[in-house]
Amino acid sequence: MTAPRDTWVKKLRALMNGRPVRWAEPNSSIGDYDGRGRAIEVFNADFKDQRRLLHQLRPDREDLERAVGGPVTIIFHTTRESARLYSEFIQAALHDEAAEDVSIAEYELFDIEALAQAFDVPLQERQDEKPGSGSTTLPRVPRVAA
Amino acid sequence: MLLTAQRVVSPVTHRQGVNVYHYLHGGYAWNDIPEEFITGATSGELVAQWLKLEPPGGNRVISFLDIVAADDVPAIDLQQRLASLKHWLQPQGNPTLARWDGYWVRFSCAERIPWTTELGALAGHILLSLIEHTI
Repeated sequence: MTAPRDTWVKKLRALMNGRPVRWAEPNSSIGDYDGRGRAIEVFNADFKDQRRLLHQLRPDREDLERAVGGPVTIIFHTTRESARLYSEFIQAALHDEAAEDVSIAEYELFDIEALAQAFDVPLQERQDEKPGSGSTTLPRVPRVAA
Repeated sequence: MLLTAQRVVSPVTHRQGVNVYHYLHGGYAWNDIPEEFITGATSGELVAQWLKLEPPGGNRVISFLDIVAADDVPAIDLQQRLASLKHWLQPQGNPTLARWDGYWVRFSCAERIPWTTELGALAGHILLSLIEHTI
């Protein structure tokens, strides 16, 4: 069975618009205060976004605090500091998030129409001085089937 | 740069796959994204591609995501935007177009494909391609 704290990490990640989230390690924070073991770190959260993110958390905060046994503290890390100090964790978290997103099964195609007249086209990467074919057209440019 | 992901299906084998392409525009400084990069008049130079379904031409596109940004945008910012896109972008027509600070986004998918799920999937494919490319 998944512990409430683990379940909430996933939910918090969505509430924080896909930002990496984790429970702070008590031994990584300085000072002694009530709820030291209930601090949540949110990464890639710049100052301009922090108020909005707190607002988004508000409707679920009571449930969260009940589930983990008391008030929680939110610690925001800016994008710059996230990259400077926690790049390994950030990269792994974003990778995991993306891996989850791409793991959807293939669609049943019998009832899905392709986008009207949209075909892919052959592409050529740059070879020495010869430029790639992407320099003149989007790969998706519609063309009429012969 | 232009990052584009397409979910394509072969009309012959009916196999599906998501192809990802990475173009660079050059080291220009701009206050706003030049119109020519948005319209696709100059998509840039193809520098990398991750192909799940080889494009001999003729594969049917059932969804695509385009993201235009300056070439030198910080990697962590770009990656976070890709992860956040499914939470941020709201459907406004097909395709849906939006500006997001220094980014421009275009997303389109066929009817009956779940919009947010597919947006997340295509953004995820781009993100994974970029991350695995830099490791």
